Amino acid sequence: MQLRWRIGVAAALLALSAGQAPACTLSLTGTGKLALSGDGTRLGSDEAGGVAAGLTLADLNVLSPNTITVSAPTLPIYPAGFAAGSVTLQTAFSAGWVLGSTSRPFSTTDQSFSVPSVLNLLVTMTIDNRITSSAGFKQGTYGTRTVVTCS
Amino acid sequence: MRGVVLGCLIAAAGVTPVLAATDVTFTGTVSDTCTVAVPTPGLMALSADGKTLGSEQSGGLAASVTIVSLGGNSITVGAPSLVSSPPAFTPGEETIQIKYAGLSGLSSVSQDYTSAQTSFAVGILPLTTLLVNMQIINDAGFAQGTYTAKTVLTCS
Repeated sequence: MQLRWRIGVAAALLALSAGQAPACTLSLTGTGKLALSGDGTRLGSDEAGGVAAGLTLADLNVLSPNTITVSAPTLPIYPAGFAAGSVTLQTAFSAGWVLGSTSRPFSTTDQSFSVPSVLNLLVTMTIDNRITSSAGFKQGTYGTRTVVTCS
Repeated sequence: MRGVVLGCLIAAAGVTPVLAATDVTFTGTVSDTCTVAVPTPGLMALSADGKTLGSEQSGGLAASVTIVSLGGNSITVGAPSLVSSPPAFTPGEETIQIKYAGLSGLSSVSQDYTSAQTSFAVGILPLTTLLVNMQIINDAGFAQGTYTAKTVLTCS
């Protein structure tokens, strides 16, 4: 009897130690590239020459629906002298899984969606970022960042 | 056996997934956002009193400079200089000056005659013309021959 209890407690401790596992596994399948629009007011991955970022989410929670959040983008990289405070930063995305799909147009705010708790569910995402500047862009390198979170 | 079951139940209740997050980054490089061209070079003519050789004198012609900008650029107009003069002319006493004025999208840009380097900012600008005038003033007059003066426009 004591052995059984020990086995039971050991199983519980093992599971509890594994209880801090992340809600999912996120893997980038491609980094994004921003390109300048013809009129010079937008720098976006949806412009000609731009490339959207790809992301897969695996190992999702099978006990309850998963919430995927895509944050509003930030602009951590820009040339010196560029008026970064006067631009508009937006993110758009589409997501698909075996039982459904969703998409969101360009937005300046955090956006989220739910996917069902299905075993072996894999969610693929395509994410676009866009910088809009009515005054145009200085010559140089620009970098945006969006955080994708699953919970 | 009961212990194993109990342990598993405790284990199931204790699984609390934590947030998982990743950064998705985008980069892009903006280059050649500004183009400057000179479709029409200027022509200088001698003033009636013989002391000024300039594009605004009768028979002279202002230079046309076209500028295209995709925004956030600065146009620098360099100090004018004498590039060539006849052998009989002794440089050093003359004053070289330029003035310029923009058209349409650059209508607010205007610079009176100056010998100094100047600059102005441009934003998004379709093909727009800047008229540039040049003059050389020399109280001792000018020797016969061809004179060439220049200024350098830089967009950055």
